[in-house]
Amino acid sequence: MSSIVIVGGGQTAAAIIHDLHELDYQRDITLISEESYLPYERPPLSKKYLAGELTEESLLCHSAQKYQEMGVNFLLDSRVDSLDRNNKRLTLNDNQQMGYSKLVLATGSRVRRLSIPGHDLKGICYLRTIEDAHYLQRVFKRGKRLLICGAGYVGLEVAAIAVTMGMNVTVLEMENRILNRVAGPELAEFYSNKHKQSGVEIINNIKITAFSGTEYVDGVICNNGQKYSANMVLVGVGVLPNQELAEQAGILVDNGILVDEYCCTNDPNIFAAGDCTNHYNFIYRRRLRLESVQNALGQAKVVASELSFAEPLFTESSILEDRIRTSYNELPWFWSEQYDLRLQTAGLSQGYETTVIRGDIASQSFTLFYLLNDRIIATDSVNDSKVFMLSKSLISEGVQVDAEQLIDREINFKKLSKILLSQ
Amino acid sequence: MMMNENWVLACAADDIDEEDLIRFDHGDKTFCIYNTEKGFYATDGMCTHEDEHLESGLVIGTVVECPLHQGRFDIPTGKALGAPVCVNLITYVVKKEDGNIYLNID
Repeated sequence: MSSIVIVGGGQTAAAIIHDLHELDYQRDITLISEESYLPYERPPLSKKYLAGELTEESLLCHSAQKYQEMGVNFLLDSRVDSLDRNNKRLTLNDNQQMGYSKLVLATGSRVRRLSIPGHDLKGICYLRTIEDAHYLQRVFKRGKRLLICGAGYVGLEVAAIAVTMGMNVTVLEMENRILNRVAGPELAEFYSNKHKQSGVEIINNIKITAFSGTEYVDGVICNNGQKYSANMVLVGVGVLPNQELAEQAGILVDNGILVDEYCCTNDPNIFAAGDCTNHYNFIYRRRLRLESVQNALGQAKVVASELSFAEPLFTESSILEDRIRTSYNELPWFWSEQYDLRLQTAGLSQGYETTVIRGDIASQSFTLFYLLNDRIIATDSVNDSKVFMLSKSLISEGVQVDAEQLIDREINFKKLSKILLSQ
Repeated sequence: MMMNENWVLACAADDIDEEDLIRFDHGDKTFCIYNTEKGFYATDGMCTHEDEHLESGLVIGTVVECPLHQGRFDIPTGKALGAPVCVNLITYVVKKEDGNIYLNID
């Protein structure tokens, strides 16, 4: 009987396995994944991998050999159909049963699908898995017309690659600006201009009411009555947490699987980590469901620590002596790559009062600070990595700032942040 | 251990701010030279995660953070300190002589 079973084969699972190995964890680990691939990095799928600049092998978090060396058992192409918490047993889609001592749910997210008329036509693309990326790579060709529904990160990243490839691209966005959910109007305008200059057509305030076509999709119909034709349609309208397995088993869920600061669910033998969780963030003092690599890796680390902590007989005792139990308390951060722009976002900007800019929008290197009560609550940095990295501490420590100082480029930002942090 | 005579002049010590680093290229290899509170160090220049040079990285204490995905390394040992980086940086011996930093390249 396996000791730890991890359900889900994404970056969270790979990180938990790696961290357990670093902690010299001795017991059996089994990973059950629906995917056909070993855990891989998902962000490149809408960036360099889609553009053909990375190999499939380079996407993998770890090689098959590495997992073998770490003593991990793998079940790919396998789905867990039900969870019996009383008997600590999983039932797989082939009716195989598997027991566990401790269970980790790292089931991630799935794409939100548009269920409007025509939704079952062939050729409507979503981008979440390697297979999705392979399909896009096959159909993307110079001169072809691509419609993208949704101007979030994925939609815009794909737009950038497609237009650079010589495709004719239109982005249709429901809200009144792109990146509406994640960024303020200044950043939206900057990116909008960049896309337009690059040849992407962006239409805001428009809603898709149906896909058109007979067997294959050939466009969309919108709420303004107009039809937009295309050779292919990509939909990027967000993701939903895969919480159903947990919910059916009586684990508490609410916009994600509910976990405490040690990533534990309401069942002491079951942890959850990554995209699928809803957890409390001590910096913003509210519960969050994050869709980010940072969250995946951060929660994975806590889970690994908890799993080792719980079984001292099976961990190198010397490591235990130095063990301090750490809770999950990290600043969320995100990134996006479009054209020659590296966007790095620290924190969550919702609820900000004012913004100030350090740097020069025209030079494409700047940081936008989102302020609330004279504190930085978030930053959006474009080609400004140092300021992004330094801002993280300023946000999580909640230091009071003088907006004038933040934007004064005569003041070295590292020196300024040191002074602010020492206050 | 015999130290060979393969010392290369990398830069002046004053070229590197405190708690900072610079890039140093030599032949077809690229390095980072660090000025930390514990002294001067050198590592390979490329992050072991993806194709990013650490020259724009952030040095805090004796840790360097990659600007791309925030992988962190311990500068003196090159050890990868956590996801997403899991492969250590190769380190090189440096010496400070007459206000200059020399790198020992095998």
